[in-house]
Amino acid sequence: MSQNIENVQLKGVIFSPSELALVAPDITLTKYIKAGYRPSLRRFNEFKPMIISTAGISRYDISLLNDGKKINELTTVIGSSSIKCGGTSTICTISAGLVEDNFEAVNDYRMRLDADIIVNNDDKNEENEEIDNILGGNLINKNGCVYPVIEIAKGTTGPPGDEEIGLGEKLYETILHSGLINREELKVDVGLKSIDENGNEIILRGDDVGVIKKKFSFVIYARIQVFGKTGPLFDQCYASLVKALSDTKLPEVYLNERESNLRTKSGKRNANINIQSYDLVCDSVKYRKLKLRKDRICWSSTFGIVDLSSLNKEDNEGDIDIITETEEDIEQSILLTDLEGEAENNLSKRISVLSNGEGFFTSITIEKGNGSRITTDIIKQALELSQVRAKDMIPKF
Amino acid sequence: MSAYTAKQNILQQVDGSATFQFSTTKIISSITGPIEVARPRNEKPTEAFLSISVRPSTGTPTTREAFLEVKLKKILSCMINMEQYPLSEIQIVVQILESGEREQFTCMELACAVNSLYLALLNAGISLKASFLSSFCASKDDNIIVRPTKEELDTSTANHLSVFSISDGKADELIYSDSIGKTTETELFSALAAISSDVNKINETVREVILQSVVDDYVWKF
Repeated sequence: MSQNIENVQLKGVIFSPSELALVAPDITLTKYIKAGYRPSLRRFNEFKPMIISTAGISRYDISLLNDGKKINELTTVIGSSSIKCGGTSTICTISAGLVEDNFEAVNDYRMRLDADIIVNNDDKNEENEEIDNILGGNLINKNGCVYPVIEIAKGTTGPPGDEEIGLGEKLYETILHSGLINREELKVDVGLKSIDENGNEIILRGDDVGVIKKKFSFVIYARIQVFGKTGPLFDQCYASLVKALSDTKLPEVYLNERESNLRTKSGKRNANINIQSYDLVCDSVKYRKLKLRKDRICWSSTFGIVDLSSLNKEDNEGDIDIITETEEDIEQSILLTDLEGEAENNLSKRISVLSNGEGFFTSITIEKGNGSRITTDIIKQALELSQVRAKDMIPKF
Repeated sequence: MSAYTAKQNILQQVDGSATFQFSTTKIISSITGPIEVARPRNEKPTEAFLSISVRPSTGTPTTREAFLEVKLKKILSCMINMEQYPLSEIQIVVQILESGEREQFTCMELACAVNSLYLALLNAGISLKASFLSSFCASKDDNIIVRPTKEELDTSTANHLSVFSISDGKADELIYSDSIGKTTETELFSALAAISSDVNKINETVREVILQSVVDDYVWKF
């Protein structure tokens, strides 16, 4: 009889480590962490090395091989970067457009109504202030922004998913509010290209150019492509965007002279219409570098937090030890840096910090997700670690 | 500091609805569910599927609203007892009636949406892990302004939004926190403290609103 009972005993199913990682990634992760390291064999607070470089595919880049000649005359890209981190590659390209600052719509009555700035029209001095107000208030009017589009290569086509939209919007929000780009820096000093009496090309600026009453600004677009995703991508996308922006060269802009005097008068009694048509041309050789605010350049670090019931509890080949059950109350949270792999990617408890390495942060996001309570200690630990990382990485931009 | 009002049980054709208003920001939200999953591929065998849509006050939804949806999903999926509704869907619609802030900011709308959704979820009878409320603040020259106005937000250097769970009528656990703009560690912690005490205040009003709607719903009068 006793032999029978022995036969009935259930046998544990044994998975090889690689199988278990597929079937139950969370259990694998817990097992690894109890052993003191992570599936990627990094330590808990060990960052992944990242190689940051300019991609050298922008218009004003100079070829070192080809006697200093420009090589990319056909592209509209004005800044680029390439980042490699483990198996993940990120390529960022910057392009730009021109927009009229005091466009007609700004003075539209409905726009004013929306911006809540209906004032007495006689007050001409307030005109500039009004325009500033419509463009987005005091702080926003000082900060320039970038419009990024993220593409994560998955082998399928289709519209951007939640993750891609979220990354793009977060990048836009952080760049705008951090004040990385001075808005003044994006303003265009439009010149008038002409030929002087000797037949040489000259560019007139400032007071010499009477006809240009309108003001223009650059709008910066970024396209970020990610290949081989293994974990959260914000850190890499932010790094590649900042690197590409620091490499960005804005073209000189001038007006085509013939077009500048184009004025039509339709002489039907009182109906006089003045049409000023501009043909803006970007110089193919001359450029200026886009200057970033040095103190606002940050490094982004995303941390995942793992909860362990008790580190001391040992798995004794399936033996149930009743005494250790009571020790489950001792919860320990462990901060993991640079998440990698499916199990770590599934961690919903996260802290994401953008630090400049000198005590300032431009974005801090804390998500509790499914896990135990987030303590002050763990937040402080994350902030401190991100500072250390930022100090190390920012000089590499 | 701006005033706030709340009301439950607004819409008749959905399972739960509520409005919440922070002086200039007003949001109405509705909950339908748990219902059968609309698209089979969204069906999850072990938990509920949250379908969240945010509608702006003017125009059609943009990436800004899509990002708000992503944030709301992170907050709600850890507050709803998702395991209790396997193979089903909970439809959540957030309609912004008055934005009250510039399009470059989202903190007022997000805080307002979280609060109105809490009331709507209660109204719909969806099982929650805990009560939760949200508030926001702006910082300028080392000062923390709780629930700033549009103009104060414009001139601030950073803005913070947090969601706290509530236990025994007090703000308890930090659920979600988002700080944007130039800030420091001390500023973050004082902002969190300021928001949690503000959440305590909002909770007093919210409790009265819930009590009132329970009284109104109680049809068996003696």
